[in-house]
Amino acid sequence: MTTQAAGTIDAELVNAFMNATTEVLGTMAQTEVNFKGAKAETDFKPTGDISSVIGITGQKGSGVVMLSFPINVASLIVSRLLGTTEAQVTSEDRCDGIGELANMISGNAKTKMSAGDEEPYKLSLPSVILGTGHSISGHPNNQPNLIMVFGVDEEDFTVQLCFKYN
Amino acid sequence: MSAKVLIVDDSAVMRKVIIGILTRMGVESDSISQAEDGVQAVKAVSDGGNFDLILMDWNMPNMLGIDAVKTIRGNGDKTPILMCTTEGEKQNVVTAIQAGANNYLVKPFNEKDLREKLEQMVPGLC
Repeated sequence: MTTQAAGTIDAELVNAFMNATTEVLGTMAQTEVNFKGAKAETDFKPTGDISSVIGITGQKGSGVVMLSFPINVASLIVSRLLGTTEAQVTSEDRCDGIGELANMISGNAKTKMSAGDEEPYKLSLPSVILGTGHSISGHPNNQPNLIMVFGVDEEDFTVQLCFKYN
Repeated sequence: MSAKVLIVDDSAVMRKVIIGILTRMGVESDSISQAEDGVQAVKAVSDGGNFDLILMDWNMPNMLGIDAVKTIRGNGDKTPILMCTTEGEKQNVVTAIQAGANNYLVKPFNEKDLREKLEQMVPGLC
């Protein structure tokens, strides 16, 4: 069994999710994101006002992916997805759009991670959690959490991955 | 008369994105129907939707898109189906084509990607 110790970073996972995040936001939302870095932490905590969580399982391992955004960054990205203004984005649009982003980013990353595997990774349906200071109970897999920080228009959002290899 | 299109995706935002592209291509909004999962898609088709094209997501609640494709084909319907999904692995593409999908588009896509697929599948869509 391979485990990722706190403070160490799995470069394959970072590359898969860094490239997926950049590609999905660039292609679907015409939004250039700036990868600011990755770190491994013991906590699995949302960093923003709205988060989407999705499960990923495969023959090499399983885990949980969480995207977490400040509300204004979520509105900006969803408005660009829809080709509207931020003022036109409803709360329903924002939640649905952030869930779909988690689906697309995780799907794109898992395709990269599945290369050479007989069976592709599978995704769960995304769940979205909304509210300033929200938290998630429990710690998936009891594994260190990989936190990737991205910048958009001088604000940050995070993509977190808590993954355990079989 | 505009082609009749069924968009099947559990994400309302994604359905809106696709509707935006279709209407910019000239498909009339009245000719576009929506389904939120595979169950609704199968019902829309079996209820005599007479669609010219179906865009089908893969991961949805209640019934996966791949199972909806199998059911629709099992019922004898031959409407062209474009799988439009994050499932980008070759194995899944093969599975979808074997199930009866006619073409495959991996998310993320841009407007040009979708237009090209649609024009290949349904020439004169608009």
